[in-house]
Amino acid sequence: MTEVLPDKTAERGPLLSVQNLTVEFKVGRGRVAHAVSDVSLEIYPGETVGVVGESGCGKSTVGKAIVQLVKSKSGSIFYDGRNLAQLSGKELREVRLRLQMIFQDPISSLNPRRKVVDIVREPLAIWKVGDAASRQSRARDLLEQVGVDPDNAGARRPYELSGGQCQRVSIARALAIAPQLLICDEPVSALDVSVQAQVLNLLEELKQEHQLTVIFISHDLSVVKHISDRIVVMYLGRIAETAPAQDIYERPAHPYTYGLLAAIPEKVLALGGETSAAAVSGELPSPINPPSGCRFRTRCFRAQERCAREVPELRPIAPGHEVACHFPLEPGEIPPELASK
Amino acid sequence: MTSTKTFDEQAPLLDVRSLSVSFETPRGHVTAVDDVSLRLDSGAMVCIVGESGAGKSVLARSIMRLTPKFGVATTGQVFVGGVELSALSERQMRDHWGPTVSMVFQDPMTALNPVMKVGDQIEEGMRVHGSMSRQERRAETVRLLRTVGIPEPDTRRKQYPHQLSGGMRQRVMIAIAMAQNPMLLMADEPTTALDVTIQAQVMELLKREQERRKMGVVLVTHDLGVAQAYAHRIVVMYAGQIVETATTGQLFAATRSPYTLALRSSIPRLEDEPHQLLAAIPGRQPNLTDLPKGCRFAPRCRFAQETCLEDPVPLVEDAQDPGHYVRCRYPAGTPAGDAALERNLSRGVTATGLPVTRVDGEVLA
Repeated sequence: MTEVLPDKTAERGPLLSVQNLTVEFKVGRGRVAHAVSDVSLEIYPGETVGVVGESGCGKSTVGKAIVQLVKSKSGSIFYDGRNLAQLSGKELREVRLRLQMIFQDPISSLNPRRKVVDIVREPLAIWKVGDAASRQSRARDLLEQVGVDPDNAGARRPYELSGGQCQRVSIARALAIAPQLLICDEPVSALDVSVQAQVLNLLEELKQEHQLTVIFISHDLSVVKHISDRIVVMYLGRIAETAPAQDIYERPAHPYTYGLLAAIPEKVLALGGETSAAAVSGELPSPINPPSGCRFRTRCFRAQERCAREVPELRPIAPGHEVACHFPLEPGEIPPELASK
Repeated sequence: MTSTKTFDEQAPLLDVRSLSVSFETPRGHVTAVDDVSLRLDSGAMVCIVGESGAGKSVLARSIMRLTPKFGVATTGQVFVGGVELSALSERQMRDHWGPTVSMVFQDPMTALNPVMKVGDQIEEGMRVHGSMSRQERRAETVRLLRTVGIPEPDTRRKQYPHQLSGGMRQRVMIAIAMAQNPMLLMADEPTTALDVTIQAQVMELLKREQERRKMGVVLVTHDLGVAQAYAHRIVVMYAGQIVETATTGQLFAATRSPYTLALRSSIPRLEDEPHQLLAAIPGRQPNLTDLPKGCRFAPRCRFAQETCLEDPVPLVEDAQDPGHYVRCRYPAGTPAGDAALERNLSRGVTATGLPVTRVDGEVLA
C-alpha cells in the first residue's frame, strides 16, 4: 500500500479552497433553510477528503456548490486559483472539464435511452476530443478499466444492468475527460455490500492510476474511513470536526463525532446498546430554524449554557485536527456523562 | 386479547417448516424462497441477513401471509404458537394480524396512510380487535407513543405522517405494530432508511420492547453489523436459500459458509487501515430464473470444487457445533474447506474458473 498523504509543505497550494461557503434555500413564506453555513475547507492535490454526516447536514450541498450546481449565498470557491462563483458560463464550462461528479443513484443518473458506450463517449463528443473512431475506442477502454465488458454490456442500456454496473458506467463517464477532481456523492450507498466493496476498490485503483483528487461524500463512517486521508464531519450545515482519517476514529474530539462512531453496530457491541443510543439523543432540528450557538447542543450530552450563547469556532487541537466545540473530548476519553446512563 | 385463542404453550413461538414461495415473472419462474425452515422462541430475536434478491423480504411477508393472493405458489407450513397460519383463510388471518403477528415495514412513508392522523392509525387495530372505549383507546395511544419515544404524544397523535421525521414515522410504525401486543413481530429492514444515530435509537427501542413484552422478533436486514449487535440467532440467505444459520456467537466465532465469510470480509471495518483494499466478492448474485445446477454461490466462491457444480447442496448441521447449520461441502475452517481453498490457491483458479489469490484483509474462520 503506497502512502499517498499529500505534501502540504510543497509550494503547490490547495487544488480547491472553499472559503466561508454559505448556501441557503428559500422554502416559501419568506423562510430560509440554512443548508450550509460558513464552511471553509482546503483540498490538496492527490488527497481524498471524506465528508461525513447524517442526512440534512449539508454534505451533498457542499459538493453541488463546488461544481456550481447550486448557487451559494456568500463565500468563495477557488479552484486552481480561480473563483468559480465569478466565472462566466463559458469559463465555468471549461473548468468543469476538470471537476467531475458521481451521484448516488447510479441508474437514474444515466440516460435510460442511450447505450452504455454512447453514455461514456458523450463527454468526449461534447468536447470534440479526437475523431469519432478514437472516441469510440477511448470509451471502450474506459469501460474496460472500470470492469464493464464493452462488447457485451457496452451495447446495452442502463436499465439492463445492475446497480453496481451502472455505478461503474458513471465512473467511466466521469473519467472520460480526465478530470483532476472527482466529487463522489454517496457513490456506494445504493449498492449491496459485496458490490460496494468492488466499487470502493475500483475507486481506490483509479485514484492512483489517474492521480485524482477526491471528495468522497457519505453517511457511512466505515466506508469513508476506508477511502479517505482526511475527514470532515458536518452537522446541520456546519463543520463539527476535521482531522486525518485515523485521528477521527481514534481520538474523536467533538461529541457529535463520538456519537456517530458509537452508533455504528460494530461499536454498539463494544459500548453497549444503551450507551450508543444515548450518545446522540433526539432528532435533527430544522435547518429553517437552527439552534442558537452550537447547532448540536440540543442533542449533545455535554451541552452547557455557553453552547447556546456562543457559536463555537473551528479551532486546532492537534496538527491537522480542528474541532468546533467549547467542551471537546480529551484524546481517548470515554464520556462520563454516558457511563452514568 | 390473545386469551380467546388456544395456543400451545409448549410449541416454539415460530416454527417455519420447508417454506417455499415461487411466482411467475416476465423473465420466468422464480423460487424466491426455497425450502426454508426456522424456529424462534419467545423473547428472542432472529436476524435474516442477505443482499437484495436473497428472498428475505418475501420470506417475512410469507410468514405474515402478506404475499399477493394470485400468481404466488406457497408450500410448506408456518406455525405461530402452535397455530398453523399457513392453513388459515384470509378472514381467519384477520384475527391474527395484530395480536399474533405484526409487522414493521422498511419505508415508513409509504407504509403509513398519508391522509389519516397517526393516532387514528394506531387506534385502528384496537377498534377492530378490542372492546376498549374511545377514551381508553386514546389513553393507550398516548401511552404507546410515549413508549416508542415520541415527545409531546398528545400533540403528535393528531398529526399526519408528513409532519413527522423519518425516525418518528418509524417509531409510529413500531407503535402500530405493538398496539395489539403481538407474540411475534416481523421487522423488515426497519432502520435502513434511517440515519445511523436514529438507527441506534430505534434498534434499542425494539430490543427493549422485545425483552419487556417477551416478544419474538424476526429482523430482516442486509447489515451483518446490525445482526451481530442485536440478534440471538442469525440466518444468512443467498439466492432464496439459507446458506448458514447459527447463534450469533457461533456464527462469528466460526463462520463456516464461504458466502458468510466473504460477506464479512467485504464490509469495511473501523479497525482497518485507510486505503486498504477490501476483499470484494467477485461477480454478482445469480439470476433466480437461471440458477446454477449445484451450489448457487459456486461461481463466486473461493472454495469451489468440481463437486460443487454437480448437485444441489443440502443444509447440514455441524457435528462438532450443534445448532450450527451450513449449506456447503467445503465449509471454511474445516479440514475439507482448508484443503479445497489450498487446492484452488495452488492452481490459481476455482472449479468455475474464478481466479483466486491470497488476500490480506480476509477474515479467517
